[in-house]
Amino acid sequence: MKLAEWVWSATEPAGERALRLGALLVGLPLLLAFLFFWHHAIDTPTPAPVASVERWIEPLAGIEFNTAGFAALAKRPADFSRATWENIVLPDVVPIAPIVGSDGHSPLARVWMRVRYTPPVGQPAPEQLAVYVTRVMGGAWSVWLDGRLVEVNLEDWRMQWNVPLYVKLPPGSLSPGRTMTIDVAFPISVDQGYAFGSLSVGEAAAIDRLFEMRVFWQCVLPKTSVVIVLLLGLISLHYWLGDRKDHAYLRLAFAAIVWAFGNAMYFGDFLDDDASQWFYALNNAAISWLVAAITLFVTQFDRDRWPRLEVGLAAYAGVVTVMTLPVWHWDINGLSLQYYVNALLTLSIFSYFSGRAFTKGSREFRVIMAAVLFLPLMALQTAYAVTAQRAPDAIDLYPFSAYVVFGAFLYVMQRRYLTARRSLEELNASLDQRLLERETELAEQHRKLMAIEQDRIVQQERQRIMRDMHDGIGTALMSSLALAERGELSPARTAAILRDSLDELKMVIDSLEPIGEDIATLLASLRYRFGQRIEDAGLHIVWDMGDLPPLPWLDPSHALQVLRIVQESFANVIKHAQASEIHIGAHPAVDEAGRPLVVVVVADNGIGFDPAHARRGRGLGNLRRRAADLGATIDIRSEPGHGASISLRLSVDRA
Amino acid sequence: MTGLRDDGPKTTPPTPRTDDTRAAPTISIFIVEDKAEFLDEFSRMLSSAPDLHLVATATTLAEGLARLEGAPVDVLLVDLGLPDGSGLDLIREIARRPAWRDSCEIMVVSVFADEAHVMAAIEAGASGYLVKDSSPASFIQQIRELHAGGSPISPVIARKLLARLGAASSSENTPAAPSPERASLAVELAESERMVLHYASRGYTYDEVAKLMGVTRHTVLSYVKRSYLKLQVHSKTEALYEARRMGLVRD
Repeated sequence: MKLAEWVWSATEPAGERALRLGALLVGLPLLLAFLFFWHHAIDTPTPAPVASVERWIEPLAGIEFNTAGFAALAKRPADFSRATWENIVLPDVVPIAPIVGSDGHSPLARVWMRVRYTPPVGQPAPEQLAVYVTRVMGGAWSVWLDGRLVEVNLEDWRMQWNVPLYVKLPPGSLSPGRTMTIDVAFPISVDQGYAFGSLSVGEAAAIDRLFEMRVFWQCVLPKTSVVIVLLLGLISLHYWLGDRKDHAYLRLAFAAIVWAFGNAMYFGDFLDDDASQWFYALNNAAISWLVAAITLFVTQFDRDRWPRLEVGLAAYAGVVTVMTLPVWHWDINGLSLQYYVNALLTLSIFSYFSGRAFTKGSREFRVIMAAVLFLPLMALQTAYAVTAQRAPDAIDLYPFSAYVVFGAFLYVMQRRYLTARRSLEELNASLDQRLLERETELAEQHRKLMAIEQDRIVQQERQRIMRDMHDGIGTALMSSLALAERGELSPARTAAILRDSLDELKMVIDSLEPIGEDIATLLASLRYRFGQRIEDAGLHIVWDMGDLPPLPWLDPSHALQVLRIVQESFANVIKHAQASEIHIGAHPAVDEAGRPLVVVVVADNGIGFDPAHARRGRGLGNLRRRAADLGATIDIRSEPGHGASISLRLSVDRA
Repeated sequence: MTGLRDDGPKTTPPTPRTDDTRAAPTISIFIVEDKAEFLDEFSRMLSSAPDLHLVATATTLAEGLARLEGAPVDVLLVDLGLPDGSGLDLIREIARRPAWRDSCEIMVVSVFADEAHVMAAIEAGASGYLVKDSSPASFIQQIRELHAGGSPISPVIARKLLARLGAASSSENTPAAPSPERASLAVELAESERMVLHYASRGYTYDEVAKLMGVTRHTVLSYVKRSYLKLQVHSKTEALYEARRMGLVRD
């Protein structure tokens, strides 16, 4: 639990903040757009576009198709006497083909669109008139009123593909019933064609609304999307720098930055013709890079890895970038070509991955694929309407794909993040659970082992006591019973046997007492039991207990053996020694190898015996056997007339 | 406290023993023992001592408890294994009755005097114990000594007391104040008491210990008795400490 909390406290702010900010960046402009649209929709009705106009295409000579040429042209009114006017319906387009097929010296012309406007009689005259055209694709437009130039778009003509035409006519030119002739002219390069959208003339306030609405959808929202996606890319990049293991954020950052660069043309134009050529070439090539970038992002949600596809697409984008540089002067419309080729490429790649996503992919993968499929469709719409100049009235949808695609990306990253977080929490919980289970299991096993060990000890002890009872008291009582039944047991003998049995029992009890490996206390308990009897037998006890080390091996079974050995030694002294004093002592010593010993000595000042011929029922062999059972040695010394001593040598450490 | 110093056994001359039989006044005795043969044996042994006077007997715990309503006796001999309960309950009941507690010495009689039984009896309030097959002389002598303020001890019990009241006791007992009625008694063993228990645990008799420490046999016996009282206090403070630790008792 604590580890997970630590991990999340470390990573949460960055991930969560990025996601929240991203959601805000996408959501807020959409909300603004809605409010804007709603505000305008409830306003006064907008003027309808002019139904038809007169058109004359004026051939030009001696004019360059550039800003300087347009400036010269604006000072040169047409010779309308040679004009051949025809009535046409707007929008009027001459599409551009992807492959231009000219030698680069296309003839120039000036297209004149003429509309006549008569302020209605009997109504209050409009204060000011304005002209509005959705889109004029060609050279710099100029607006003329009654043959006089009103305005020419020299500064901004390269943005005409996007920014609508909006010109206020000079005030005071209006009088009810008087017809005014309004001309909109723009130079074209004949090979490149042109596009002229719907035209409206009317009261400036009403036209202004049309213009602003168009600017909002056509200019403001696309710019906003570029800023948003760029920010998203930078946030992702920042996040990736914080956690370089998660390449999803790097791929998202790459896609976002490529997309933002690919849509940078909404921000304006270069006055320098050469610079603008390079900018547009790279800007257009970004569309190819975007195919690679989005595929890079998408493939990571697939179950398989696609390194070859990824490298291949990057190589393709690189080749396209080089090929479309403005150094080759090929007769192609690079933008248009790329649009179509990339649309086909992305449609096929994305369709393939969509198939995989919807058959065996995760939910994230499906959402991603559904969203990215919008991209080629919207790009195709823009390529058709704007780039190929076929539908100048249409709003180009390509920039809006950002909201769909990057919204989906955000959603998926959030899911990824939340899923990772949840699975970590679950993993943690299950780890805790497993730990708990394991602990319980271990405790249970330990308990069982303890119980088994306990049982084993109890069993062992029970067997030992049974054996002792059988060998000692049992045998003694049994043989006495036989004697008593035959009437051969005197009361004195009976008392002796019972006394012995009781002694044996007491020793068994004492051997079981918790004396903690302390042989001094063990020997002391022997004195406590039998000291009175020894003294009653006329022996003076000299007790001498040194400072003894604990004997780690001194369990009840061994303790009983020690007690028996010493007790038998007492008995021997009482029975045979005819002594007046018994010396009982224990002291530490070392053996020949320097290992620590405890030596227990029972000595008397009695008649002694010859150890070499000690076969008189003294039970010395018995003592030796018992000592051997203990892993101890016994040292018996005596001399007739000089007492006897029995030394029990116990090792402190038994191997 | 007698304020003894360990000057070594040789410096103090052995104190001559007083003859208890002649000097002591009559000692009243109450025996609680369910086995008739032991009861008879005890009665016979007591009858041989003119100063020991058997005033009451009981064969069950209920009878024993009933007798507590009467006047206190000097010495109670009680078997732990009674047919209707444990002799420990009788000992504990006496500890609750000030009249009995202050005048009656309790002696547990047992076949083996094993450590578990004896320690429980001492903690409950007994100050002596007897092995049932003691010789009459030892039996009578131990009763007299107990009445005179001395307690017997076996090596195993001495060792156990040292372990319980020895080194660890001082730190254990500082936080929990002793019960007020025995507040004057320090729960730690005095050095002389520790010495007595040390010698006793290694098998030295009271006379030998007295000689080794240069004090009288009676002093040695009283040290033992004091360590029994300390064990009782120790058990109580231990119980109190445990209870406080487990939140049963508030400060």
